[in-house]
Parts: sequence; C-alpha cells; structure tokens
Amino acid sequence: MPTSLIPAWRFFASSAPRARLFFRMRSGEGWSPWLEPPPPPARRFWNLFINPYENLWLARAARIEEFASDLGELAQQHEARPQTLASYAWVESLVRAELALTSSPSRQFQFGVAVDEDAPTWISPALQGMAQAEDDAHSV
Amino acid sequence: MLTPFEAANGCRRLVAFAILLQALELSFVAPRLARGALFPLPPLQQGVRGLLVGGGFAALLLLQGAVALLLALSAWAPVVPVLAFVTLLVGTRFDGNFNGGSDRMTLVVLSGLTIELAAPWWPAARLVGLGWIAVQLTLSYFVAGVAKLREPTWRNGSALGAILKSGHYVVPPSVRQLPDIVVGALGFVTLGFELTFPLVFIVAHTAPAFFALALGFHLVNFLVLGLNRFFWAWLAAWPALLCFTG
Repeated sequence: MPTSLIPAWRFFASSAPRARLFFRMRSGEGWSPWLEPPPPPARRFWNLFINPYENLWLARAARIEEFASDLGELAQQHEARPQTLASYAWVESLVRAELALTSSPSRQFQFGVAVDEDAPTWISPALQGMAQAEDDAHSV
Repeated sequence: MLTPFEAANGCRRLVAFAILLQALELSFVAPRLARGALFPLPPLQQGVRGLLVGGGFAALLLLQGAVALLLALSAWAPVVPVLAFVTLLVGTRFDGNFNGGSDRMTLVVLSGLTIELAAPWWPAARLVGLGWIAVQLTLSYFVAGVAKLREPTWRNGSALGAILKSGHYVVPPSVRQLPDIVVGALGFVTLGFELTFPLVFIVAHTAPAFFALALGFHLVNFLVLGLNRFFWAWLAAWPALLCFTG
C-alpha cells in the first residue's frame, strides 16, 4: 500500500493498446463464445458528481491491465505459473463477479486476456464456478 | 490571490466535498463488491477484515461520509486527521487504490492539511502544508506533460486518438468520430497546457487563466473519459496554489 500512495503523475504517457478481458462458460454443447464484461451505463451530466459504475469499471480495467503486464513479465522470465500472481486472483474474482450476474454462476468457466486482439491470446485453465454456499463464504 | 487562512479553509471544504462524493459512490457499488467477491482483500489486511467487509464496510463508508459532511460544513481543522484516517482505512479495501490519481490527490490534500494543523507550535506549518499541496498540484500537470513529451506518439500527434480508441474508456460516439487532425490538435493543446503550467508561479496574473484552463481540462476529461473524481480532487487542491500566486 505505501508505494501505491506515492504520486507518479504520469497520466496517459503511454498510448499502447490496452488489455481486454474475456470469459466463457461451458454448457452442454461445449464452450460459449467469448464474452466481455458489459460497459457501464451511458454517462449523464449528473455523473460529474456521482459516477459509481463507471469508476468501478475503470478500477477493474486497471486491474486487468496490471494482470496483462504481469503476464508479459512472466513470459519474459519463461515462467508458466500465472496462478501464483496476486493479479491473477484479482482478475479471477472479477470474472466470478460477472458469472454471479448470470443465470448459472456454478458452471465451469475460463477467462482470457487480449492486447490489441479481438480474442484472447492467453487463456486460463477451466475453473469451477462457485456453488451458492461457497459464494457466500468468499463474499467480501 | 488567497490568504493562507482562506486557502486552508477552501481546501478543507472542497476536499471534504470530494470525499463525500467518493463515499456515496462506493456505497452504490458496495453490494456488487460483496456479491461477486470482487476486489479480494490482500492477506496482510485480514486483521481489519471486519471493518472492510459487508456491514462493517457499509458502516465505515457511512462514517466517512458523515465526517466529510462535518468538515465540508464547518471547515473545522481538527476534523482533517480523522477524515484522513478513515479515508486511508477505506483505501485498504482496495489495496490503497480504487481510482488511481484521484485517490492520490485526495490524500495529498489531506496530508497537506494535516501538516497545517501544527501551526500553533510551528508557525510555518500552514505555509508548508499548503506548499506541499501546491507543489504536488503543479507536478501533477508538469510531470504528466514531460512524460508525454518523451513518447513519440505524443510528439507526432497520434497518442490521444489511440487512447480514445483503446476501449479502456467509454468514449462518446461523437468524440470517436472527430477527425484525426482535430484529435491530434487537442493532444498538442493538452501538452502545451501541462508543460507551461509552472509559468503560473513566474508570470504575474496568469493564475485565473490557468485555473479556468484547468477547470475546462478536467471537465473535458469527465465528458470524454468519465473521470469525474479527478475534477473534484484537483479542484480541492487549487486554493493552495492560489495562495502562492500573485
């Protein structure tokens, strides 16, 4: 936390393509198409005062960016254990949050990350969605 | 333009208003945070877990909002460290950072106003605290400008267009359809504003113009990129700078 409080003030210095998160669920016939978390509702002028869902969306986008950056570093080190990354846990829980909004949150799922592509170039192993009891236990 | 007393009062009221809005925003999304296990707590912070989950977090946001409202209405200096502590505690929920730069500027203002509290024992404390805020405000524009200037894409005018098309922000369709030459020009205007900002201390009577430009800059950032928190956090720092400009 202390380092995250020190201002760097380097806003928008990089215009490199940003990372995108995808996820898909297994159904009877196989995997669904890749989905992306939906954007926040359209912005209104009163959102100048209160803009909760867009700020949540931006916070999540920053976490996805951090995960993509960590994946890039792992690739350079020829390590293949992204599950050990703190940012992996963040992004996995983010996808679980999206799944919780679907009709079948307990289905198996995968998530993936793409940079400047329309489909993921890195894909997670198949993961088990949470049952309701497990969901409650993990709620924070 | 402002006396140190007026500047400190202005910073207190404005940062309190900014934090009140932040607490309200987090109250809206708190149920989503709970439902989906989004933003898991880092293991080091499990000791304060009770305050950062479920009803505990809702109560903490309520406390933050109440303390912010008290400071906004009264500008009573002793409330500042209480608000700073509660705001830091809320920040631990997100590993210190929910909304990046706006969180940091909020803490810069709170820390400067906390330094200012030592004025009864250390006469220079008020100017030191306000100076800290004014310097960080200046750096927030100037360092961002220098960092951009180092990037070839900002120098050739293509950076802003790439950012708007990146998908990282929800950009209104009308802005997406702007011609490249217009977007490129807006990028150079941004660079010019940020790089010339230190002139506010050097050239007399430029503070009102820079203040108007800054307000417009942050308003456009909200309209185009949705960065509403930046508008209020930066506004809260401005009285400190206006205390040091002629």
